[in-house]
Amino acid sequence: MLFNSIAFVIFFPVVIAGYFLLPSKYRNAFLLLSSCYFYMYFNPVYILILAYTIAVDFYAGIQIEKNIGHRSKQKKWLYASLVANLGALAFFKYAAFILANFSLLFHWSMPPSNSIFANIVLPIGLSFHTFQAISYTVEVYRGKQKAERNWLVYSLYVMFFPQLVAGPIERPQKLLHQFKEHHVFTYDNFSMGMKWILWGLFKKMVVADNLSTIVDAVYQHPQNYQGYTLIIATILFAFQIYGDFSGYSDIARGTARVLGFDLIINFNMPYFSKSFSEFWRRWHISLSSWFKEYVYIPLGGNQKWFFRNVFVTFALSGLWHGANHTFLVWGILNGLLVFANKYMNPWFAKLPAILAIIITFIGIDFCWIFFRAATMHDAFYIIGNLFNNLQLSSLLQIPVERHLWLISGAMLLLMLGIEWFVKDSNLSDRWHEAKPVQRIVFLNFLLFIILFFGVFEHRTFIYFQF
Amino acid sequence: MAAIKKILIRLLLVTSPFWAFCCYLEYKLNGIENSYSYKMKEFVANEKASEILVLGNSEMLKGLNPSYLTSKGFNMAHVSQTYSIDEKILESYLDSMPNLHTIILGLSYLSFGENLETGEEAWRTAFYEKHYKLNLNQGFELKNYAAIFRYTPYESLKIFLSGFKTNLTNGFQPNGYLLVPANEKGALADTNAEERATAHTLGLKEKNIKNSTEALGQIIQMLAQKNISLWLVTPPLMKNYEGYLDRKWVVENQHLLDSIVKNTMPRAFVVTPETVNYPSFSANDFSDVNHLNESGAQKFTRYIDSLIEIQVTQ
Repeated sequence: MLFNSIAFVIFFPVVIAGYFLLPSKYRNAFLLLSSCYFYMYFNPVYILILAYTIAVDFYAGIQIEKNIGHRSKQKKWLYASLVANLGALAFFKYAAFILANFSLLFHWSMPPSNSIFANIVLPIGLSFHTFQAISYTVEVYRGKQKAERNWLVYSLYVMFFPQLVAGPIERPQKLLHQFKEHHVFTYDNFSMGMKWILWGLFKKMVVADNLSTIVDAVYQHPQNYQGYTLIIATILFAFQIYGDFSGYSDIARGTARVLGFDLIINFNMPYFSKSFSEFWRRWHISLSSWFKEYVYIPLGGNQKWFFRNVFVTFALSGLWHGANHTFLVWGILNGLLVFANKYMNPWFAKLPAILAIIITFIGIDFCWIFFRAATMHDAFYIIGNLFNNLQLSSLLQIPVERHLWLISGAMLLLMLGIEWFVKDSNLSDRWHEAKPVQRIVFLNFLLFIILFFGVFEHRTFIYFQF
Repeated sequence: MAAIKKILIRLLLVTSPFWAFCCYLEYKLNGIENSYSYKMKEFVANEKASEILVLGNSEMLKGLNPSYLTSKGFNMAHVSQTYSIDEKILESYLDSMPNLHTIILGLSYLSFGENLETGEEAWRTAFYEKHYKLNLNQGFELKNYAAIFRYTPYESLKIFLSGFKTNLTNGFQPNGYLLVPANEKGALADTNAEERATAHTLGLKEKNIKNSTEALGQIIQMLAQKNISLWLVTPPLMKNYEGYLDRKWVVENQHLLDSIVKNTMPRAFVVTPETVNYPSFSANDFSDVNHLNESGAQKFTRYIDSLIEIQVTQ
């Protein structure tokens, strides 16, 4: 179910009412059923994959805890969990990619188009809930988290619908205990949650979806364009994906908040970062910290083999996003930027803040070319033609209505302006500082903008494909 | 419960300016005349007396002017109107037309491969639901219930900013025909012909054929039961546009037509440039590469009328 759909507008109030009207002992069961319905709305069959990984991880967690003092047995159960989770991920996400690469390298013949490998459909949100499940068994193995004995609570940890299909990827220490607490419906939670949802809808439906019309027109046929058209489309994509994904995270956070749950902040104004490493501390924070805790630090962190560690971490992060060479290159390029950052830090620090922000944005945005391009060929064409035929009039060749430029530009500035205004504090604080009249005007203005300038075609979120 | 009550009241109060504006806009939009409400209003006024009904897509809407028919006629064709919509119109209104003896149904390049309900023009379905009272089984769609979504929120805002003075019935005549006086500069150009033909071909989908052929079959059956003649007619096209059409679809359309119409109904007549000799149409008769203008429609309607009259007198 999409957050920006009529189905969700009906689903969510039903869940709120059901959850708070039921006695405490039935609430988790109700929340799990609601989450199952939410997930099955996309594709009912894939709930079986979730059921399978939940069963394996739940049992593995208990076994790991039971075998404290027997490291080898614990390790065996940890590996069982990793194999189950990563195996599902490998099969559904990477099988076709791996086969294609092997066939290219060793001149194997590809499986026929009607074979199972050629027709695998990636279950929605698989990468997200797999990583969340892995963090649970690893934390139990490390002794930082007690194994969960209540299957309902553990199932909810993996399947809690606000963050089931696109995160944030939570840690067990932050989320698990919340399913054991009694949540009360409060005005503050509802009010703040709804504001997050509204702000997320604005970022998604108004900013990202309007920008996507322009970006898609160029990136679907990049060979038709050169110069400024490619540059502008690439810049706009940076903001499209930000609006899309951070908008999703805001809606997820707001939805959870209304129900009394607290989810991690996933984005912290990343495009105002003054260095590449700072960007990665502010962008998709839940995934960045996952890779840091479970890949980068175990590899040695910045103590030894820094380059290798960064390279491996970012290459894996790239592959996590998609089974395509473009994502791999995107990850590696970002890794190189972060590696270079370490040696450029003193130089970066001397720069005026605005210049550091612009340089960081240019570097990050250049990498987005590989993320957005459909193929490596497209990406290289775009890079090769970024500065060819630099004529502003070429922008008018993009087959979109002219008012869309105006709306997209104005809404983008509005989004960045508000984020800049809120910076260094949070939306909640700023909201409470404002006068009642200001709040009412802003709220109505936001509703007005979403209704009249939003895209109501139920466009899916970019990160759903991961 | 007290907390919920408090929240709902506050929510309503705080957002009341927004809702007030939406209600005002919705009220005003519902009062606007559009081409669908206008056609339906005129149709209701003419249905008892009409002897000929024209159905089909924009080629028929702009190509057949009932004023030039000997019998009293009404043009119920509309932009991108497909056979499944034509069938539902007949299903709903055939019984209210006691004098009807002939249906003139468009037969175009788009007839079998297009589906209004799923294509680019799907936004029009809400207007059929609202004004024609057709049940198109679209499921729950906001546009079926709110004018703001029917016109799209952005267009609704534009209509509001124009002071609700937008004319959405420009050129529509009381007999349902859409009058286009002449062609605009460049409308007949070769580049336009290629662009339109390519766009039309892209809109054709194999999966739509079943639905279209079944709908046409239903129309034939319905009319046979009522002893009403069916004329399947193809309005003339500019040669440059015809040249860019996909031959595969042209052949397939012909094949489908043959298999459906032949032997299914004794009173079905097919009028295409391949079956009869059309009068000559020049560039001055077209408003664009696949639509006639006022003079072309006059010429074409008179020609079709002469064929019908021959048949009637026989």
